[in-house]
Amino acid sequence: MKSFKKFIGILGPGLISAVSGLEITNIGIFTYVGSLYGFKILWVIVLASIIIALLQQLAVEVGVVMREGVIVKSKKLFGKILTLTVLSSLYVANVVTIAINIIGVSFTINAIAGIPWFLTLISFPLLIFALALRKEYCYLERILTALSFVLSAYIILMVLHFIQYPFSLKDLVASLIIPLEVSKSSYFVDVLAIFGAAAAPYALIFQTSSIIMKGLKIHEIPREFLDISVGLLFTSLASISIAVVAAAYAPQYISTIYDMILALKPLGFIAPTLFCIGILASSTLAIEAIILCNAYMFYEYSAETMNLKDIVASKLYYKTAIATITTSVILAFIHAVLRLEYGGTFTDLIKDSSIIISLTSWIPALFVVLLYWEVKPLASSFIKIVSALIVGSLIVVNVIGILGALGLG
Amino acid sequence: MDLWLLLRIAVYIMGGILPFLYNYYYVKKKVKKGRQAKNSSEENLVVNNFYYSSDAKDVSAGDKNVIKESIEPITIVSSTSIASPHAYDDRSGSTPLYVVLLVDHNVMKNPDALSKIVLNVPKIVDSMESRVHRE
Repeated sequence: MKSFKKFIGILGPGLISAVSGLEITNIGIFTYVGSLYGFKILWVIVLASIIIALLQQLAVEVGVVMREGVIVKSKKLFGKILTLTVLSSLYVANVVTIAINIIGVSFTINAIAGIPWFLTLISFPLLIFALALRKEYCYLERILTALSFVLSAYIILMVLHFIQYPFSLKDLVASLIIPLEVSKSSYFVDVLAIFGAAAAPYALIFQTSSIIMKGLKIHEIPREFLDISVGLLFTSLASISIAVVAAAYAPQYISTIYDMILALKPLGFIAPTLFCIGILASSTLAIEAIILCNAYMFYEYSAETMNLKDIVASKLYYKTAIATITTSVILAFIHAVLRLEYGGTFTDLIKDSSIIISLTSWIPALFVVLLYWEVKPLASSFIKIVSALIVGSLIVVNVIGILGALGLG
Repeated sequence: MDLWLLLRIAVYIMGGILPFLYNYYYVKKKVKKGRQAKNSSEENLVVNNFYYSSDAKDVSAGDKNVIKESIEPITIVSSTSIASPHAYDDRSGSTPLYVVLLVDHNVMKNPDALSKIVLNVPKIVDSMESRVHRE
């Protein structure tokens, strides 16, 4: 019983953060690529998830050894101007993530209840702002996390699919082990979108801040790594299941939110409701976390590492919440109007956002790697080289993806 | 299998799974080593037994006469750490005014161990005083 409790204790935080990280960007992009490429692109999803998990490991080591947040330490080591670059890129990635989540919720409610999307686009952020003003939303956070678990329906559907068609399991295993080649012109753009969807740059900031606040010791790092591994397993499983379910049940070209809900058609009439609950809960969780992350970042930049509770009680938090939500709503509105005006679809909106997130994510990743190089007692030469290569590869993926998007690839 | 496919598999493994697992086991091993080193140094550092002596060079725990005769200087002796108070509080013959810490090179480089020794001083002095009063 004791060991079971210990196991659940280890499972908890990693699993919860993995569940809350499963929002509209991931669901949208993985459904889209799953329906378009089938199993052929699964290895990219797994690779992106592992790279993100490795960066999280490095962020843990940086937090434990340096006892300072990424922004504070960057300011000391690399100066204010370079740190401002990280701060700006994180802010852009965060605002774009919030904007696409607001759009996702608005379009989902529009598809299910028929409420015009622009009405939800204004009212949902107001609700988010009201929640952000609450000083204590621990219970709400638990309820939202529990509601986000309805998206685990994708995993259940994948299992049921393989029970029904056991021979396709062999294809799945093969596609996970052997990286298959795809000959489609939009391939590199879609790979870029996958990296953007898998990346959660704000998670790197949270990783170090939570470690500093918990006062984690060096001997506790393996336990934290275990937590990241559990999160990675769940994220990979969930991401693969979304793509597999989309490949099995969704139409071949996904363009609207309704097409995405169609992937859940084996669930019958409850599919739209479950989808709506899951998206609403996970988007709210993600937006609240990002607002907190923004406030934390600005606090670190202007002062120093502080307790999250103190930040929530500070005036800066309210100012950041107002600035973040307002910017996100304006961005969401302009993005949606322009895209729809010029014949774009909901999938295009998600792809745009994922690409912007991917383009801005490599900067914080680079800084985490640079800080890891300074972690003398724990850094290994092999990981130093690999992490530098990974950041280099991320830059190359971004360049190739952009060239592809511009039709120059 | 062609070369291009092998290259892709190598990149897939080297760029993803291997570093993640390697870093996990590397840090685990380092932490384990560090813990073992810490434990062994703590065994030497934590002062549980101390002896009183009028002569710091010749310490005998069993010799009660030493305690009775111990007018000055009272010395706390341990394998690596606390020793030789050179003066006493006039109000009580057993309260040292100074404590000299003998710290070896490894301990000097270990702030945790060093602070542990320093933090242990009041405890040891207290128990030394109470033992003297009992006697």
